[in-house]
Amino acid sequence: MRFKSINKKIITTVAVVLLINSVIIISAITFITYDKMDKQKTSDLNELALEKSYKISSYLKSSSDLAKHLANFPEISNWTQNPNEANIQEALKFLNNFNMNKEYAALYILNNDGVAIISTEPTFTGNNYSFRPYFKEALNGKASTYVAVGATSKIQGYYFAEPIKNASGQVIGVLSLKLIPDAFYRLLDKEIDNKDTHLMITDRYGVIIYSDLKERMLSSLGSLALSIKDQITTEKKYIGIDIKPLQYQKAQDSLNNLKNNEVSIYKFFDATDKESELISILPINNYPLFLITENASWALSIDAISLASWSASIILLSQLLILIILYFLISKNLKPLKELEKMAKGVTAGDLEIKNNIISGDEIEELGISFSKMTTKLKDYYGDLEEKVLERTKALNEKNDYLNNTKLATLNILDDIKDEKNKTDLLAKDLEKFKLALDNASDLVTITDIEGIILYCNQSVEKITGYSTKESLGKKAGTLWAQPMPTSYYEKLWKTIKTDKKTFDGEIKNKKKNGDLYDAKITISPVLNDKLEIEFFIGIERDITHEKMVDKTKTEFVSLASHQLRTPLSSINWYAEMLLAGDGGKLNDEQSSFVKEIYTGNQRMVELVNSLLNVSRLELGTFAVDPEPTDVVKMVEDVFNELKPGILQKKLKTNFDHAKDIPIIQADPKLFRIVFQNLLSNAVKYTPEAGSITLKLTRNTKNLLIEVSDTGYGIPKQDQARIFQKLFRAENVREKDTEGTGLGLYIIKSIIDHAGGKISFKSEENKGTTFFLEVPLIGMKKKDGDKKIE
Amino acid sequence: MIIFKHKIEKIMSKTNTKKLLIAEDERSIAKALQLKLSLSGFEVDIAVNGEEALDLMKEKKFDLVLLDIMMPKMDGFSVMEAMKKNKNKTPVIILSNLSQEDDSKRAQELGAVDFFVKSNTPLAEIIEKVKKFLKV
Repeated sequence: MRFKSINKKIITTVAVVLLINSVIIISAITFITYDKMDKQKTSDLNELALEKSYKISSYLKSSSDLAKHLANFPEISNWTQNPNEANIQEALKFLNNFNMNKEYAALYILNNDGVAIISTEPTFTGNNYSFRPYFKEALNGKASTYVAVGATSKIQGYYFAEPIKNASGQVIGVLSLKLIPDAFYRLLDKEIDNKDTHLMITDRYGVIIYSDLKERMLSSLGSLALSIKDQITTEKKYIGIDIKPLQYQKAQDSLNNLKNNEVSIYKFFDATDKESELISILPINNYPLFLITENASWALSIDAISLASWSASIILLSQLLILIILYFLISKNLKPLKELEKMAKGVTAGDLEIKNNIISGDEIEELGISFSKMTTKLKDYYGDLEEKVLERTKALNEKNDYLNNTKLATLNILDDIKDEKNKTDLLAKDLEKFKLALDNASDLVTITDIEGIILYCNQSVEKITGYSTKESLGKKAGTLWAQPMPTSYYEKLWKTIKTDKKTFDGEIKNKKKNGDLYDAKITISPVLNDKLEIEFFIGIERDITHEKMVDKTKTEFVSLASHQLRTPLSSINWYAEMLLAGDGGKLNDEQSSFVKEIYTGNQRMVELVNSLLNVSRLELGTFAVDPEPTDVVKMVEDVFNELKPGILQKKLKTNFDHAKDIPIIQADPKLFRIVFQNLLSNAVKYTPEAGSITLKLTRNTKNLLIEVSDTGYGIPKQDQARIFQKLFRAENVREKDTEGTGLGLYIIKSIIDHAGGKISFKSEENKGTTFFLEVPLIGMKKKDGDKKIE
Repeated sequence: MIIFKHKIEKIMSKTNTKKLLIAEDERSIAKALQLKLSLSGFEVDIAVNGEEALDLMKEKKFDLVLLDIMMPKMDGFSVMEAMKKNKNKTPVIILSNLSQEDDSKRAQELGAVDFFVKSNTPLAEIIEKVKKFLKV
């Protein structure tokens, strides 16, 4: 069950890694998202604040504009100066026109003492409002806006005040509008389009005069300083109301430092809601009011969290998928291992019939195959063992039988032993004979190790090299007698025997102990073991100095003799030629025919010498073979042309049939030409007048086939066996003409043999002869030699 | 013979004659060559051995040497080697009755322009080759 645990281990490890990975990824996503959203929300809040502020200030502007407009109205100034009953009635009529929608609680005029002298709201009339800051400011010639709870009405109101001036520009009173903010607040309520967003408006002291959350009304942003509390009381703003601070202390503290139309944003933690909030504060254009927008940032956290949780679930899901895939993959890959385990268990349990079922195409399959091979071997071994046990038991039984038959058994065993002894003796004797033969062989036999160190050499070593057996053993032939050849020769030798592991045959010049050089023919073969590694080299060396000398002498003799023969032949040739050419004066017909006889006779002599030379070279085997691409068809045509005089003279018919697919073959053209020359000139020579000669050239897959037939004298049956022998001439032709040398067919056969071809013939006396030749299409092998055939 | 001399002189006076040297110890061969070549209009000198050939070459500048190989005193190969030493660049055609590969190869290596086996070559063919070589 170990494989399952590997499986589990891998899966667990991967799962942990994946989990850690996902935690990191999710945290990163959450953090980045939160940060980004935070920024977004801040900028959203900023924009929202500016937009709302604009709307509020536009709304308020209509009221302050109205106040200004009315204050500058000349009739108002007039009515303020003379507040008699008629004027008051006139003024009220006029002012009421501007409050058709009942937006204002009152439109009223205060005199310089702060007493309401004219008011659309009758309850205001006669009251002194000089404590109100808007009155004080307007009296100083400035337009003023003020928010407070009405002293009379107890209703919150927005006060807009404008100084009323007389013709000379003196302030003679204050025109005030008290706006009922209900409609305005309704408008603001509508502006809240998001339940996480809240709007507040505070007065200049930070007291909330509007909030969509009604419970916040008339609380302060933070705790108020005592001086401010006193001021509020003096101004009688919120009579009887206990102003409670909210937690926005930072905002409260900043009020005095805020600039017009500039948004400041603070972050707070709401202890009651347990969430953080973003707060923006913005002074509303020219009014002593602050707009505060609030955005609960838990929404934003929720956004971030939801995004994070989405990504988390996707990541987790995908990793789960990976895990599942991984699980299957691992299970699949571990399956062969399980198979293997099963096999091993089977073997342990004694089941040796296990076959490898693993086809995983990897090392495990290999293991499986080896395993099943092992079990097979094991089985065989067990089988053998059992068989042997059976055999032994049987043998034992048999021996028991023998023992029962004591005498016979003893005799038999004795016989057996005797036989064995005889065999061993014979073998030992054979080996001894063999060693004796080897020791005394005339060729030098050496056995060396792979490095060429001599392990054995026979007695010939002393005779051939001058070194004794003792001197030679344990040394390299290379340091003793094998030195004088060029390095390339030894390189080739070692490559053949050591690298290619083949037998090396060659001729070599070696040096004797006394410094004399000698020629040797050597054969060195590697002896390989079962693994085809070289164990030894066996070298056989024969001193051929003497043979070489004889060869050389023979060659020199032949070439000298032929040279000496050729010199007078040349003279005769050339002088006969000159006579025939008329260089010695014109000859008469008879003289001319005599000289011609001398000339042809001499020509035959030259040919004979050439043939003898060729024979001696062929026999010495020292002629060169120089294969080159040869056009056999062209060659045959040429030879026919050369023989034309004889053919014409005898009025012979000649046919040359050749197949179209005769290839160009690799052959020594000189040697090949000799074959055709001899065959065809024989045909011409031994065919009577008006006969015919046919040469057929065809091919099969391996050979070029040449067939030369004539209608000549034929070869007598009794001579046919000897026809290729040197200097042999058949009886019938010897009688008919004396020209032949008896060497032509001998030379042809030598050449064809050398080319690996065959020659045979069919002949009947007085009917004709056909020669059949086969020459391999692969052509002749190149052979270096110092003699050329002529 | 008188007729020939007359003929030869006649031809020689006409042409801007090329000078040939025959180095050949066999008198009959040398004479046959000399006769044929003279008839073809060449001025021909004969040396009967290698030494003499070298001496003659020192005295006179030849256009071509017809050289035998086997000669007394100094053989043809030695003559060619000596010529090489003397920086004598007169072209050489070998006329020999040796026909081994060795011999023709050695002659070629020493710079011979051609090699003929005398017994196997008609005289006329040799004369033709000489003429062709000297562009006559």
